[in-house]
Amino acid sequence: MVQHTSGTPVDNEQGNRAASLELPQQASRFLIPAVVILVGVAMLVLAAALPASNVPTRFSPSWWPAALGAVTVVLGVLLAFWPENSDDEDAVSGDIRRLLLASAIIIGGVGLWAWTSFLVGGIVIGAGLLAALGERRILVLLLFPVVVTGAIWAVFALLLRVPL
Amino acid sequence: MTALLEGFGQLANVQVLLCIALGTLIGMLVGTFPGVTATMAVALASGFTLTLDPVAGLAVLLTIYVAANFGDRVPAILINTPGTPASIATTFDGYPMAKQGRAGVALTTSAFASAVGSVFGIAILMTVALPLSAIALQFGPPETFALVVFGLTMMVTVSGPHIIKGFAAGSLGLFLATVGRDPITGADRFTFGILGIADGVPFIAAIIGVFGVAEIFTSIRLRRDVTQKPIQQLGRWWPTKADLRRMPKPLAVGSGVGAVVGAVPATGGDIGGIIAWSQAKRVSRHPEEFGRGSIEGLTAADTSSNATLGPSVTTTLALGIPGDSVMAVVIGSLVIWGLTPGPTLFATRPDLVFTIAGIMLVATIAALGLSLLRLRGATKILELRPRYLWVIVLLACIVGTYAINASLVDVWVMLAFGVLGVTMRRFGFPAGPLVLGLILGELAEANLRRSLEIGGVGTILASPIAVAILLLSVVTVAVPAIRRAIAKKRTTRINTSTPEETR
Repeated sequence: MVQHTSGTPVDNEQGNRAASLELPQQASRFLIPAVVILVGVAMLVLAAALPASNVPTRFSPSWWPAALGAVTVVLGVLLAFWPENSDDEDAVSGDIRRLLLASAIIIGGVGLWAWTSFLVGGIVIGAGLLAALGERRILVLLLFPVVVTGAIWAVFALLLRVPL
Repeated sequence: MTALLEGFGQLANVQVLLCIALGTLIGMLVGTFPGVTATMAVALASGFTLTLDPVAGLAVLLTIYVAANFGDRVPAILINTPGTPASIATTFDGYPMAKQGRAGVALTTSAFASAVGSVFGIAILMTVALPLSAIALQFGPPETFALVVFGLTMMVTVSGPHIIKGFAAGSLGLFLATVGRDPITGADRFTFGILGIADGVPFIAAIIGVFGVAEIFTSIRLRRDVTQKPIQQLGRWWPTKADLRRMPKPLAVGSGVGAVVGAVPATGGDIGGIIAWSQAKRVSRHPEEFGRGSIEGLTAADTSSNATLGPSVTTTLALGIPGDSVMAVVIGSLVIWGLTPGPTLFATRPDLVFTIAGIMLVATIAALGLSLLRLRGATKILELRPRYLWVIVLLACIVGTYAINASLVDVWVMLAFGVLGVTMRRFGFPAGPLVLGLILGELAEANLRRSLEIGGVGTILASPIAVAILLLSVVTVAVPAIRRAIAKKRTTRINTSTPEETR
């Protein structure tokens, strides 16, 4: 039998620290089912908003999406009772800031492409991503994106005749 | 006979042969570089192959599929990291062999075993595809709906231990497939006036997002920008006579297991390799060597994972249900080329079976040749920092997606699916069922609604084939879940009884 002793200040501090570490897992236990249920409810709402069909049919165009919404809600409820905690190596937060930075660079680069051309957007994405991923050599930061963007442009625009 | 000649005849074309050469090179590189999967490469390639003729485009996609299953053995053997999931079982004995100074023998054995498996799978494709599609031609809406359900449940089951999350992902995929026109009435659904999605979510863009962008985003998130030093001492290249004498049995086991696993929807080379490895161990005279550098274990695993390719293509094209995740991507391209997979495809184009078999055969020979070339420089690829490849892949994803319709809407859709994919992986939701739901959604809905319109649920229950397939679907989900529950209960019992016993 395990003997429980009253905690010393150090023990309490460690316990608090452990509790604070467990908090995200506790939160995700309820958060994931809640998000799944919300997605299901959104599907149901969207399906309900579909206009009725003019074609005479027993099953309207909203029937299948609504059924999927209901199934998703049920799955969310099941997840609340049988949480499937992931021990995958992918299922950790990791470096979210780095990911957000990379995403912002890509979104900005694609936006720039829409306003200018692929060559400009591609070079900005290439250089920005390399810098965000830790590349610090100026020559590499300048040459690599230019060569890669140029090569991709040559393949698609010149060989495959895609108007970039 | 005419179909066979016509089918193979289509390969006598410079463009097609060049596409096979290009696909082999890309496939080998993709396989060699851990973190870039065959699914990702095929998804990416499908963006630019859509501008080619269907046969030339298929040549690129199928050759990448085949060649990646040769290239992925290199990192599995030299750095104990599978290049793609299909070479997981290669690491069991390949890496121990390399550590014993037999990396050269392991690489050569693996290449030949992969080639034997590949040819065996292609033979199945050539002999089974047409009869299977003839049977499937008899299928009506209830049977087709049941087949889609089976494909989805298999994908959920093989995607990991998270069954409920898998079904939730599949449900979302099926819902996203409802965007566009209703398959029965033709009414618009969830398009919100956006022209780019009037015909539905552009699924090539979605696939590139989920399998390409999300994969790179996950690597960025988890800081996988590290390289491992490969084993440099490769030793001799050719197996001894004693080694060769031990190979027939694992070759037979691998071919048999691969053929069966490949034919089951949604299962691929990873599962085939692992099952064949354990089966070969059971029938081996030296089971104690397995996992410690057994040439039999390596042979069985690699034969099997490549033997799944042909049957996987067979299931995909004859039934319209993807045999594995790469085939899910290929279906997307085929639909855009106007070659919708399913029983009617081979009824109208029987020559296509042999064209596809021919492409895969030439790809196998080319990949075997490349594998046997003693390119020591190939091991240098393993030392390249992944960040450079990520930038290339991301830029190619963006341009490849844009090239489909020369539309930036597709690029935004791809990025949105990339974010969705990385979020799903973070929270343990498998991406496979989402993509499969998206691809098969219309087929599922149209056939279910047609069945129900005819005579309600009774239409489905009156079909023994549909009922059998649906029951099989239930079994595939229930059996692993029950097994896991029993194992968990047993573990808990052992854990709780241990203190009593030790007292």
